[in-house]
Amino acid sequence: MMKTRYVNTTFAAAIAVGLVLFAILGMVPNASAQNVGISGMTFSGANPSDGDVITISVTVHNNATFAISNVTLAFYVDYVEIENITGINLEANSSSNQEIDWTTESGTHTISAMLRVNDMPLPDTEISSEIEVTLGDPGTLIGALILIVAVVFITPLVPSIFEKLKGQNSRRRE
Amino acid sequence: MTSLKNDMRTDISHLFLNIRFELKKHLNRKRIVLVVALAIALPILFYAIPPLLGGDYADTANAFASTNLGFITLLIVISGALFAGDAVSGEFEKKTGLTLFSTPQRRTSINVGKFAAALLATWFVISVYYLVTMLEIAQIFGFGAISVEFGMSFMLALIYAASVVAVIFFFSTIMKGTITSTLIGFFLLMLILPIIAGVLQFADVEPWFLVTYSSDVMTNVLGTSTGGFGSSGPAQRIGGGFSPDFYVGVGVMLAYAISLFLIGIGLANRRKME
Repeated sequence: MMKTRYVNTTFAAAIAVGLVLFAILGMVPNASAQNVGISGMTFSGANPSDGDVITISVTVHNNATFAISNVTLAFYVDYVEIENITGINLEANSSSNQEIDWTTESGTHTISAMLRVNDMPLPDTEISSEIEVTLGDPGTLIGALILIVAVVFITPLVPSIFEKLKGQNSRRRE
Repeated sequence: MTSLKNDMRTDISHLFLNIRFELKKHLNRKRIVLVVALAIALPILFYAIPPLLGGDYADTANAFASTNLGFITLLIVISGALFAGDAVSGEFEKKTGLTLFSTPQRRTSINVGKFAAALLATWFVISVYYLVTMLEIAQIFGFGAISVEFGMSFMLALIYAASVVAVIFFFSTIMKGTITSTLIGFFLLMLILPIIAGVLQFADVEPWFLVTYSSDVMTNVLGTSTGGFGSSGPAQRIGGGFSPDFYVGVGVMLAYAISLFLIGIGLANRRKME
């Protein structure tokens, strides 16, 4: 009877210790994920063209009641990391604006940002936004096509103009 | 002044006469029919094969167009070779120039007419290819998905076609045989220049001055991106080499088209029947 009670007490104590440890170990990332985040991704150019340098800005916030230090903010273009900002320190209930410059490439791109703590990514903090970067402009192409057509249709007139300028009236075909 | 105006009017009327004559020749030789059939069949393959093999189309209209236009360069070169390959050399090889050049019209009007007909025929083929692709996009994604970039890609294809026709026309003016002039132009654009571009890129030199390299802007302008976290890695982004700048690319294509057209016309006008 005594032995059974002893086993039950030990078992209950082990479960209690396990639960406490689980809570402590699980608390760190959960706290980070819930209290630290990114918001308000903006781009400096609304309709950038290929090769333009635009500024990508985000706000990193810490809603926790304690300070967080040494956070890394990584930026991605089409899910490939292009730059990161390390050593971000945030006081309790504070936020910080962070920005990077990116030389645009044509196409529709997904720009993302995500936080890392001790090299561990925090997927819950991911923020994404799409940006469309145009390559060239239709006006240039229309101009180029007009130029080609003009050259082709003006070339046959050149001999007549030259003959007129030289004062020659005789035409081979006449 | 009046006589200049009359002369110019006559030149233009001769030019259109030659264009009509050359286009009729292309029609009679079934060349246009052959290439138009290709221009319809190729995009249909891209439309029909994915569902038949249980695959999916691309996620976006531009991505679908980008895949569909994979063969547009080949089609442009085939069209250019067929329509411009024997434009001038054919008259000398078959001696038909003896009758044509003795007609009361300037050699410039005749040669420009040949170039313009080859260019118009090639532009027509490209238009068919883009039209079929556009209808496919409309069927899969809806008419609203047809983008400005698709239109820009079409205009770039027309400009590239002008440079291709000019290159092949140039060889037609300096070569004696029709087969030689056609094949040299074809292999230069399909094999030699791409190999040179590849070697230069391997040596870390951007081949911006090669027209075949510039042709990449036709599909680059459609710009597509795919993937998600975990589905692509940096390795897929590294080693892509150079990508032609839009304005430099258009400039290079224009330079090839205009300079080789003018040089070709000059050489063709001076060439004599042997």
